[in-house]
Amino acid sequence: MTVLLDAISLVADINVLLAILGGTFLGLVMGSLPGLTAAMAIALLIPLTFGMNTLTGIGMLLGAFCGAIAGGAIPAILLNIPGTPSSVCTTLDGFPMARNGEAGKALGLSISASFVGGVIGAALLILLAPPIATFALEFGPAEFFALGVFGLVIIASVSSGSMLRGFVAGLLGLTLATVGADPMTGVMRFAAGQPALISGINLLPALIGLFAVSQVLDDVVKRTGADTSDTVTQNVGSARPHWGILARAWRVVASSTIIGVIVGAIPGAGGSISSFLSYDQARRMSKTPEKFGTGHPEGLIASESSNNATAGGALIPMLTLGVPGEVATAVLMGGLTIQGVRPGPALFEQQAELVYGIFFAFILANIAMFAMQLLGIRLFVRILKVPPRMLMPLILMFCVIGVYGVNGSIFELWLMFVFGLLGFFLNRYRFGTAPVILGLILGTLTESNLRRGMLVFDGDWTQFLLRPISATLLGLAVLFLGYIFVQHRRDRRRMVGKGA
Amino acid sequence: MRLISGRVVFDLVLLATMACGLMEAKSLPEAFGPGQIGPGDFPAGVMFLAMICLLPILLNDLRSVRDPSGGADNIGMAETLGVTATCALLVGYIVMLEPLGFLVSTAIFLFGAVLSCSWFLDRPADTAGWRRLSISALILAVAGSGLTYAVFTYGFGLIFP
Repeated sequence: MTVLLDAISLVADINVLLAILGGTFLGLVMGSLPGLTAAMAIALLIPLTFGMNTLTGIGMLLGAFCGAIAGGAIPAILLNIPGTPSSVCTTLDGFPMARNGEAGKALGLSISASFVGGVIGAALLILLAPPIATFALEFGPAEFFALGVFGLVIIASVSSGSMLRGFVAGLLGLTLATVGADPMTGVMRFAAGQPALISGINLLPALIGLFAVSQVLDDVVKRTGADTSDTVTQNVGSARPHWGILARAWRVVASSTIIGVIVGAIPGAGGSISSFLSYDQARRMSKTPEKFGTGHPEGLIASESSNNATAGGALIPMLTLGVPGEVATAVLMGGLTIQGVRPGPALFEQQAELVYGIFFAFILANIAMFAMQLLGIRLFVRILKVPPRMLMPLILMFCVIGVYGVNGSIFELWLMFVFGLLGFFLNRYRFGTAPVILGLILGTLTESNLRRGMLVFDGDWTQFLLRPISATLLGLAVLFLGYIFVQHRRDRRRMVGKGA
Repeated sequence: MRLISGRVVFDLVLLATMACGLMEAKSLPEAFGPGQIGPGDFPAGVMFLAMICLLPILLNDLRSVRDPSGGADNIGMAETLGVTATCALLVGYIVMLEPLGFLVSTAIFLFGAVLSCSWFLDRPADTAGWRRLSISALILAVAGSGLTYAVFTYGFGLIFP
């Protein structure tokens, strides 16, 4: 009880509340812009959180996380272009509704469904995270090593292309994590005599390079120039919550939020998968499945309640085990690490007030997201009109400010540029950038626990396979690795078949 | 018949980087005791695994080069120029940042980047269009850099050159 009261007093601080509001607003702005993802929104905001105390900074990042996911629905409904990958499914019924003159109703439904999904996701996070963390407290070096390996193997599926390429990207991240002084012996590794690399590769330039600079370069190639000329903006002012429709579709809301939380909690899955699964489930349950895809409110509710519930679900493995659920939480975890917070079971034991503060901040971010969208929907619709030729230079400017402003280091700007180029090619050739960042984050955990384990077990590596949890996780990792190779062979055969 | 593509070059660069890294990892000091892991063992293992995984990817990409329908990932000349120009502007910005100071370098970067992005993304049709665009780029450059400087210096306490 004292912990809860302490957490409430931490969140009740005016700075924390303002940071949540600011983060949510910026997240909504970035989510509204097609091409800017939640991961990019968080990466760009991390530098702003440096001068803030821990919960204030985390509150801002959580606000950006919730805001960006919810904001992605606005272009999905009005432009038929998903603002973020998790709102792809929203276009299926959202855009037809807008085209039928129901843009306001579609936005209102999306806002309220996002809110309900987000709050239920947060409630399940609060209920499920503490027991999982308590269980994970029993983990030793063998279990943590196995968890790191499992997380890295499974995150390969986050990669935009083939799983094998994603796995290679994860290994690249692991390799990059070994740059700098070896934590056990102090021996310098792969630092090329560069003093700035003694403590390893700083996460911030890597995050901003991989998720923001590379995205801008990719947009230049795709010449996104999202055509905003046919934006459906009639009746957007009438966007208001439609509690009646939501209440009548309670079965859709319930199934979609549960799917969202479960899928979000599985490392490697994400909002786009959960929204498609929920959409499909809603269609099966509907009395009028034939109307799905033509502007059916239930389709929109399923997609939006699910992808916002995914946010809460994705925070469960990230906070309890230190393994992010999907791309945006991988970046969020980078932000937390930079703030000095190491997600994992020990966090629940050592900083319980902070953990509950994070839970409450997440609920507040959902409330802020709901209120801001209702009050400022006209503004967010206007943001769709910002031309990419103005937007891209501004994003690059914020990348430079973000990286330089923290340490005043030109070397880190070069590092950001190199990571930007690397991310551009990794995305271009379907390796993906998320596994790299996860490898970079989990690399130290994995290596140090492997080496600590070997010391504890007197060099007997079979101990890693004799402990039930580590054996299970390593077994699953091997199975998944086998599946990755089988999938690669299948893809190759399909390609050969097509060529023939 | 084409023998190489951007994908293949990228795979080869990754493979070569991993090979170099592996050699450097092998030159690091050994572990202290028997059965223990030295500073080079973990990265060497990771890089070796990455090389093993890269080989089938490389073979796959070499096959797809010969496939006439496999050019979806190829970047055209205009796009290459667009990315090169954006990278050149960013490099210029980083180089100019400390000698010229934040305000001037940011203003120059924003002005150049807006014109460059317009050229590659959404080119105006006539001279009048370019004139209007130049004026809006100038306004964005001056107002954007000034406003950002004020917000980040006085609002967030960041120190810029």
